[in-house]
Amino acid sequence: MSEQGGANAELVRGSGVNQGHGVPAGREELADRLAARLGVEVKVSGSDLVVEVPRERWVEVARALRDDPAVDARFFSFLTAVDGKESMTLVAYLRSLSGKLSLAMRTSLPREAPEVASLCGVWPGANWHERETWDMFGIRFQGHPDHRRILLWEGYPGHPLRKDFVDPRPERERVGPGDRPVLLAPWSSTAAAGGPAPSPSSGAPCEAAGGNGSRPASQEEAVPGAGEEEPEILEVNMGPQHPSTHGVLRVAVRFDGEVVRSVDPVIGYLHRCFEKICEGWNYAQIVPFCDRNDYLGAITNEWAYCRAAEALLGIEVPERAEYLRVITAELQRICSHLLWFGTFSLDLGATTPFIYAFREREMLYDLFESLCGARLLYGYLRLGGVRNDVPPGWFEEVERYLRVQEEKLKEYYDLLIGNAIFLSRTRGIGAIPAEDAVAYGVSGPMLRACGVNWDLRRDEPYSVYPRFDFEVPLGEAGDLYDRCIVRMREIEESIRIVRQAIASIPEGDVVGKVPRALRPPAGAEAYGRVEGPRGEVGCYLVSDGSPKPWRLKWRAPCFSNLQPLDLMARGYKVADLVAIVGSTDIVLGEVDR
Amino acid sequence: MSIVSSLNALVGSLPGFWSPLVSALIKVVLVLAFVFGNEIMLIWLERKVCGRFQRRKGPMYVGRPEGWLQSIPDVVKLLAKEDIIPARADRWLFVLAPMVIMVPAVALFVVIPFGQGWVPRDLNIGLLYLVALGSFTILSLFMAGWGSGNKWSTLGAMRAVAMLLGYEVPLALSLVGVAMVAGSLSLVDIVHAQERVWFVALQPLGFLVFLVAAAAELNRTPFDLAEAEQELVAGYQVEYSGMRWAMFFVAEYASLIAISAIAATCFFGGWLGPFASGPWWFLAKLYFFIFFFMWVRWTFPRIRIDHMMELGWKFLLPVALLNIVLTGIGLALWG
Repeated sequence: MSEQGGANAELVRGSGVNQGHGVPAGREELADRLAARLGVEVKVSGSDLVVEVPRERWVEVARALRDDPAVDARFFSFLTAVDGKESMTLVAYLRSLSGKLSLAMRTSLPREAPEVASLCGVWPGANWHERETWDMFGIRFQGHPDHRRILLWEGYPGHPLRKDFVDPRPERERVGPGDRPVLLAPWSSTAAAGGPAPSPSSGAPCEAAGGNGSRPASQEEAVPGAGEEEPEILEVNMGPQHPSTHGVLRVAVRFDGEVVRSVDPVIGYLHRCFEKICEGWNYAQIVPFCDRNDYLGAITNEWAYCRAAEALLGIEVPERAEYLRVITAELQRICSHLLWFGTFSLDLGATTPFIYAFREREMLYDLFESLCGARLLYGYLRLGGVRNDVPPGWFEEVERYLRVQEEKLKEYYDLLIGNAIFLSRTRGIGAIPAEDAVAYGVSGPMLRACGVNWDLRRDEPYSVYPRFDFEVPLGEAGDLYDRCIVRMREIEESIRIVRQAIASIPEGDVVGKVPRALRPPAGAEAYGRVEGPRGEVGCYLVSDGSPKPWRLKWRAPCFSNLQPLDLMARGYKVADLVAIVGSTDIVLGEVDR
Repeated sequence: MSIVSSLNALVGSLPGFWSPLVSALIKVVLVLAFVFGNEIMLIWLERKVCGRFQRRKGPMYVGRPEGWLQSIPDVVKLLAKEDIIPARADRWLFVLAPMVIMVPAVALFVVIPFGQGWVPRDLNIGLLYLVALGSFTILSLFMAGWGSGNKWSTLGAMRAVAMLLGYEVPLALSLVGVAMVAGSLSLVDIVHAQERVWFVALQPLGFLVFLVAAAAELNRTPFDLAEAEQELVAGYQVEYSGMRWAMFFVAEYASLIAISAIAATCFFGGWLGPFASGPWWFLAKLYFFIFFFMWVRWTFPRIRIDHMMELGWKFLLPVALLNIVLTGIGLALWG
């Protein structure tokens, strides 16, 4: 569906993050108009707008940006903060899907006791992002419905992404059983008075600040003690040790018999300080580390980071390398969707399709292994290109694989997708309305299953994607069945893209000219994003002029995709909950980072 | 035949009350040997069948070729495991449940005719006995689920009981037609009544209902709702390990054999065959059904509990009742 991109070739070569395809017409006028109407400073940065908002008008401007038909910023991408030397900067990335426009909304906060009004009323998706920002930076959000930490545990001393954070533990205590976090059921963290669990947050900064008390209005009946009054409600922890949570996810569920009354995903079990660690590494070192976030989409992770870093550093990528990036990223997408298909069939209790999907996935892994030596975490991309050119005969091997894959896709339909039980288990289950999906920042196949026609590869074209002819598969209802079909059809489209790319790949270098010292200009920032298998994978980089990033924020699609779980699962059965969690295609390594 | 009659003669020659006692003992030993012998084979067979369906080989090493002795090290491993009783379990229920489940699973074989005259006890209410014992399994599942003191296992137990209501009624009703046509509840009489034509031809609807309900009775995919690994972790079995867990496993396979035996007896003429009738025919039919249930298990996704209930109450039950009515009409017209 994308326009044929031969004419775009010149623009593509620019390969800066947002400059890649030139500034779409009308950005400047829009910026001026917005500045005049809202009375705020609006800049154009690449193709994105940057809206500088005074702290008092944070929510007001946000609402205006969302409701203004000229902007229509209803997609909430992420929110984070940067701890500057004098002040904190709060950044929210928004997007208008209708206008194909991305905006960064920024405000400045004092470093001491920073506080700002919560955006949860504007975009429900801000909820988890604000919790994470509180967790990592200690920024308080007034009016936040559920002001708890999210990745770290209640009672953790300090906020680790602040630059003045000092690990309070003496060196010798850093390992050992004494440091075990206190894990609490979410219903016991609010008013667990007298409970056998150790007092959850005595002395915790958040309790001192008094923000730990209220739950979302919709879960008001879920306060502790309700269990005793309504004995028919069963409170169960699904996970962190459970066969169907796809990693270390805990879902605190309240069952009424078989019916799910409320769902509260508890994350953070796999948190490993990715962003903090990146602040201590130089730009080239970070590339392979990105693999570990979404370990099923390693190439797209590296790509998101490389796009941000290359924009900061002004590195050009040779055309052949761009083609190789596209080819590997699309193979990666097939690989990831195959794994999803297999595990989803397991979630539905069918064990055999899992093996079938893994049979083809194994061929892909062999391809990747012969390309770069690794089977899961490739480390294939480099700043300015890719690690190595393809081995001889590799493209023929890929073509052989693609033919097998096309054939076997029919087998998946025959075996599972056409099955009456499969249809009864997936049709009309776990649907999320399109408006909610957008407001939560749900992206990727989950968003497209709702019928929202949005794909970064086509709508914010990057790399050489405009040159390829491919369709963006869409669903209608946004239920489990549509998510499955969208992913299956994306495999077909990826096959098409890979074929076209192999047919037209130019000769040439695979790594561009990269300066020896990687020092981006101080104060520069970039948000690189690509369409990963699970949605918008993004990397927001801020430089202070040193060889190490001042701040790196990872925009994980699963983090946003998992957030509306309660919305999707409430009222369905236990079995559906498992299928719904499976359908979101979560990778906890990415959710928790 | 000659073995049976000479054995009968030998036992009959014993004095006084010893005769029935020894005869019963021999039968018990034979039945148990049959069940457990087949079970060892079945566990291996299931793994091979599953492996073949999934493009794998299954066990290969213990007992070449094709790893047919694999079950023996499995049993040794299970025996060597630590015996764990959870602190919050209801001890008595927890310990008794795996023993209780063995009772109906093995006792079902009492009335199964393996061949002409090869029946441990030809009860004249054989069919009723089967149905009654079959629903007895649920007691054990509920004891296990409830006694474990685990929320997941309690959910599994709740499901098991709900399911029982869903499939046990159609299962019983599907066999009513068979009894009507045969004019007897004795399984031996039922087999004899099929000398001209197997009941599957006279009772196609009844057979269909029986097959679906039997798959549910077996607790196998697509009806393995009570243990549903992906949903309820392992349902009622979640806290069981080692030999206690193995008892459930053994009982599951014993039920598989029993249900397949009932299908072969009631619908496919038991030991009767187109030529050379005998126990080998019974065994062949038995294994055909066992393979069928394995095939289903490794092909389908799991049905949802409410769909299962709908299937049971809104489809299987009316069809089973319809089958009885049609059978009655048929008997009145041509009987």
